[in-house]
Amino acid sequence: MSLGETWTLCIRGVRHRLFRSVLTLAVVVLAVAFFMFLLCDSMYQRAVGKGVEAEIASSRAAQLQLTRLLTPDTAASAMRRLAAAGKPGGEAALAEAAAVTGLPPAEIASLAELAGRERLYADWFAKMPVGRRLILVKRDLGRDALKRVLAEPDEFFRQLSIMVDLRVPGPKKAEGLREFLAVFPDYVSRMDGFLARWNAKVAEAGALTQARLAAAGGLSETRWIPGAPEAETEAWRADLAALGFSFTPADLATMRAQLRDANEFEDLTERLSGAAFRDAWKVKFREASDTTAEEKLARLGDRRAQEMLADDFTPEQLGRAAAGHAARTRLAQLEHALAAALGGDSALLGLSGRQLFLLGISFLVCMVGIANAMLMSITERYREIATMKCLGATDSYILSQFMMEAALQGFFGGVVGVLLGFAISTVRSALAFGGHLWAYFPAGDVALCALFSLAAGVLLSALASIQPSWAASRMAPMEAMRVE
Amino acid sequence: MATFDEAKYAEGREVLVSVHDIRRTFWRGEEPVHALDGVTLNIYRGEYICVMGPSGSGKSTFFNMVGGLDSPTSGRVFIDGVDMAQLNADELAFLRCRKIGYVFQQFNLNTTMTALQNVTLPMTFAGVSSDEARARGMALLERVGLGDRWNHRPKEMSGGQMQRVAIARSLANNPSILLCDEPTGNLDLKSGKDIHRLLHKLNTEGVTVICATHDPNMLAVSTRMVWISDGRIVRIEETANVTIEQNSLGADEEA
Repeated sequence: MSLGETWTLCIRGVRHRLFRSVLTLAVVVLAVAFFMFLLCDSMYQRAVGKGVEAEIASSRAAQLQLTRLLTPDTAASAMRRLAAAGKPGGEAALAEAAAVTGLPPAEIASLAELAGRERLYADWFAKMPVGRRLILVKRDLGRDALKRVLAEPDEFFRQLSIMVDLRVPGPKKAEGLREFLAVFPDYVSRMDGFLARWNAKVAEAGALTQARLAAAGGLSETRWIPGAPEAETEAWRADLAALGFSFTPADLATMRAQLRDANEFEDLTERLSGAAFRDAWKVKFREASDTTAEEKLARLGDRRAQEMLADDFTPEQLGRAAAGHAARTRLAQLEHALAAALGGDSALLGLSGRQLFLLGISFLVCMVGIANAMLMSITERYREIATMKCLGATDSYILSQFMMEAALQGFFGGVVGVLLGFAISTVRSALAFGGHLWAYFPAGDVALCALFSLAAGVLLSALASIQPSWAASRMAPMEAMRVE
Repeated sequence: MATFDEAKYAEGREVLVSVHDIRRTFWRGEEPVHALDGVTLNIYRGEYICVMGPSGSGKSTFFNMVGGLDSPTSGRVFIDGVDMAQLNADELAFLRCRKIGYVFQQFNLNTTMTALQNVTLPMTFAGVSSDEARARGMALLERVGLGDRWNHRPKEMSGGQMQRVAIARSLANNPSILLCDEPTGNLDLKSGKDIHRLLHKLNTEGVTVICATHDPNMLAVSTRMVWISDGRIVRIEETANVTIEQNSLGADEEA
């Protein structure tokens, strides 16, 4: 008897029995829906969180760029910058580092890799429970901690071996740390060299900028860049780019626009928080107590507010500033809310320990439910199974038929469950994140989650029905003769 | 009443099922229950045997032994020369599939399948291709007079029709033995008569029929009758030598 024929018979039976096993299906649906909901929810949080993070970074791009160009790096910030560049997608940053410092790209790549290791260990020390850190590296953090380990490695590793549940991160665990310590002094001196070269270029860039600012009458760079003629800033940009920094005309355009908005906003808030303005506002709005600049910003749409500010700001400017402020506030709120989702890199499938526990319990309950429903369906069909055996069905046929039936139920229930879980989590996230969800919709991840949940549903019901199917297959055929 | 002469009866007949001193003991707690207590019987090819006995007589257990559904505590059962004790679960399934056809009192049709699907189910187990199974299934349904109802489900059929489908199903793989457990027990008189006629016709066509029954009309078409009581065979008669009257038989049964 081939598998194909078993399949046909099974389908034929299931088609008629589907309604009878609605209970089993409901159990599968709920379990899969719950699984799908958790997975989707965490995917949405991640996707939106990453998107929001990127949005915030881009909204601060001008400030970050200026800091990078004009402020000398510290050892720690250089290490983090290089470590970030060493990750996939950081090729441009590596190239820039090579261009600025004049070091060969191979050297930069090697430094970036080591910086990645240093960051790993530095974070490990930073996140370690304080008591343990005191024992292992006293009060030191970051590079100092590593230096202390290097000074007394035997003592460190002896203490570490006592703390059995404390795992050293990264490749090869503690052995990896030993290997890193071996090259650490050499790495530090190379890193110092890198830092010196970089900061020399930063100083050059600073001097060039100062010269231009002085020529423009001693303005600050945040005021000069958006206000100066385009040709002048373009020349400035070209000068810095010639030093090796990655600074494109597009970067400059973004910088000018962002700085202009920032200046505008700064002027506006300064105006709003002025004592004279505060009193005028109280009179105009007939309010007894003071309102903060924040509260005033929220009411810029008011005609009275626009009248008060009409001398310096057009209604468009006010609208832009208020909208920009609202967007930034919303982003900041989202970032805060999503911090947990972004932080948990170590969690399985982006689920926290508590969620995994809930998931495990719900799966167990479902398995019991399915096993019970399958047992019921088998007792219900005692005579049918026995008759089949009288007609020549082998044990393995009965087993495979029931397993297949269970898997089919798992599949159908899984499909419905996936849709249900998807719908619930999507509606929930849409309410929480609004447009941000659609902007960063993780379609691929959701498809993967759906596949995962579906597989879980099929596997779950197959697992739960192993025992009942086995019992059915071992049933004595003489039961068919029994007369009730 | 004439007594049954086995030696004379066996002349020119071929043994199909041989049951030799079988015992079957169940345990009801600590207390043994001897459902079969030393039964020896030869069943010959082409016979139509009726087995009678009150409930609890061991009739069903005897049926299970002959049908390869249960194995005896002691003693041996040969079906078509095969010792049942030597077979494993899959070989038993094979034997049940091809050598024995079962007809149940409750019909035991699969209610989710049509008449034809029910009839071809054992063929599927035997590995017959679906085209051939369909052709053979249709022929069998014609043979039991239900050729036009092949696409009906059990719900849409009368008891007599269901039992005829069940008989067609039992014949699916050309079995040597047709094992009927009170085939008319759930049927009205007229449908019962149809079944007698059908079984008789099949028997004349060469099918060996073993039938548990209390139905005098069914006894009338048999070749031999066997009475079982308290796990033993208490009486064997050739039907030709017995005058069948409803009342006399009833009295025998109660004995």
